[in-house]
Amino acid sequence: MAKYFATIGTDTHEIDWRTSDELTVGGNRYSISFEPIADGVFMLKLNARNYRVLVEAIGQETMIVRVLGRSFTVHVQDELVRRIGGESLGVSSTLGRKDVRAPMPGLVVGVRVREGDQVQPGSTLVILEAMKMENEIRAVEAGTVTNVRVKKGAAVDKGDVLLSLQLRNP
Amino acid sequence: MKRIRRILVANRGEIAVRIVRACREMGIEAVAVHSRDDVRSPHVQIAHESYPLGGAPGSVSYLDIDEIVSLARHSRCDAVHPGYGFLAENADFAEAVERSGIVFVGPPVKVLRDMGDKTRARRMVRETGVPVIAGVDHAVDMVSDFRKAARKVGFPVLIKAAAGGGGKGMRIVRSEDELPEAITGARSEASSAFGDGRIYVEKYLESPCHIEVQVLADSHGNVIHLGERECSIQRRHQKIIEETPSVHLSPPLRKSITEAALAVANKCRYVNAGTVEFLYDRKSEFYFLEMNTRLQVEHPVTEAVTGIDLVKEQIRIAEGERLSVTQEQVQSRGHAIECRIYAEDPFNSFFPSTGTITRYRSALGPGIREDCGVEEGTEITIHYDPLLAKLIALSASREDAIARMRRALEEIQVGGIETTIPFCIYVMGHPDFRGGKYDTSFVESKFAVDAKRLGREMSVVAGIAASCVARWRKSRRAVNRGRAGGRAPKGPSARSDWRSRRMETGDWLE
Repeated sequence: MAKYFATIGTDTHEIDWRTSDELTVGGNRYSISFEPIADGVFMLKLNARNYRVLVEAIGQETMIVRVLGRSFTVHVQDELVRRIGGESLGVSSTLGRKDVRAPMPGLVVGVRVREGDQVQPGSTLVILEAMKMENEIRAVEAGTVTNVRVKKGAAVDKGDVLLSLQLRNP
Repeated sequence: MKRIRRILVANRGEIAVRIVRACREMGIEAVAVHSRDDVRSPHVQIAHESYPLGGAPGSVSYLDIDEIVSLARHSRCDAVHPGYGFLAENADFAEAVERSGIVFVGPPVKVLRDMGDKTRARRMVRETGVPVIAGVDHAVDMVSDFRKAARKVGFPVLIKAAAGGGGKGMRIVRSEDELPEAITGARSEASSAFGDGRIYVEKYLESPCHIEVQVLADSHGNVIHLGERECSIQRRHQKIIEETPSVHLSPPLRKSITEAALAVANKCRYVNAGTVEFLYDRKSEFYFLEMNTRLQVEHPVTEAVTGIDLVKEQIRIAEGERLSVTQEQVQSRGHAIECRIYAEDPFNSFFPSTGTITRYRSALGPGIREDCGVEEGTEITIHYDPLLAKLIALSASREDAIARMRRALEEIQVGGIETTIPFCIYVMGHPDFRGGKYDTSFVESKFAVDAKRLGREMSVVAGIAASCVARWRKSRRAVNRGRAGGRAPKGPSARSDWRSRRMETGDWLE
């Protein structure tokens, strides 16, 4: 009936809607029902298992979905949009480059990497002091450090670019 | 005996709500104070009166001793309850309050000074014979002295702030070359957190258990304990899950540790509610860590199993009353667990999460208590401690309490920010936690490893849900286009058409 592609982080799930109450994902078949309950709250039934889903939409194709307290930023495209090369929203990556931004205002008390360093997911990049504690800003994806914009002692605002990573698998 | 009629609650969030509730139940008027950005907070809404604190938004306002004392006088309060954190253990604050002729709901100023200085506390406790962790009993200044002390104590060591706890101003040092950076870091963190950069050295125990004992003392010399709390599920020395009774204590050990707590309370002539913290190592030895001279975040688990309202006891003690129970009358029944809901993302190293709470639905039902300081629409910023709420489950057995807590965690809905809810669900399902086989290394050693795998499983559900929403939105838009394309109805039917369209698409999706 219709195919959708849901991308979360580096995983893309191909969701094949056979009928309006049956679909397959990753080779598994699911019977499905989906009911709105209130603003931004839906009941999802997958193979008779109930999930209460909170949806906090942010864009045309990207939304934040929360299940059992955990949120997922999902980029959804239907088959047509994907085939004609729909744009990827919500991820600031041009040619596989990702900006690492300050998640909150604070003071840079340490920069653990230099231009050209290769980092792995989980590598500490910058130490930001905020809320009277030191918070480690870590790499989410593997990449090469480029465009280091801050040094120790710099005060940053939420959203300020700290450095960029040239991702290894763009 | 001085009857208290009005209390100024010098705090915010869930603990301020807690104190206001106790006041209301006792027929005492509760006066709230709030920073500029807390003007709509739940604690302000339920107080009898409220006054704004001047100054910048953020924690700073709640630390202004002069202003708070002046507000207490101006609003004719006869007592001040400091809650926890902020000025709760600040002897200067307690002194300023008392000097104004207002009762400080807490221990005497001298006790705050004695136990507040961690090195002095160590010296005093050592005199009681209660085991104290190896370390130095005085602040250390020079790097060379640190080296000497660390060598004497034996690596690994912990550098700690003399003026406070809660994990701030602490650094683990495993070798001599790590010392200089650790000293600088600890000193600056301690300075900014407590206004006092003095630091000292203690032996670092690898993955101990953290067990604490609740004590209650009145001004007539009665000192009792209300049992222990096990607080080993913690991260960066911040507790996330607590329970009582502790799975690690045998009856003889329980007897020893509670007696040790009473010895400490008696030594410093404690009055009001307090907690003696111990570290318990694999060799079944326990050591005095520090005494918290205030009400603690996790007090509800003790209230759950003993049926004693600690805040009311605090107020009564402050009025000069005797304790409402004797040691023999204290009964502990059942098992209680508390999960702290922090605005932190467990899947991103527990990074603070900010934003507006778009949805909040409490978990209810038998045996569930929720102490919450936020509501729908509350803006979560980095200016304050990220604790949003506490969920407490009480049941007859530990197994039942875990099942009950898990049920509640799956029921509670908090939308708009990340929280520690999924982390707590993970703990409740973990065989090591359920089997009582855990210590303070649990979060780092178990959760950090499993976090990625957990994501994969739920991401399929999330992906499917998102595609459902996408399809649903598409069909709604088609329906609306169909409606708009036809004859535009006039009069009452036009109004109802607009209303029903709004409900279907939902403004939030535009």
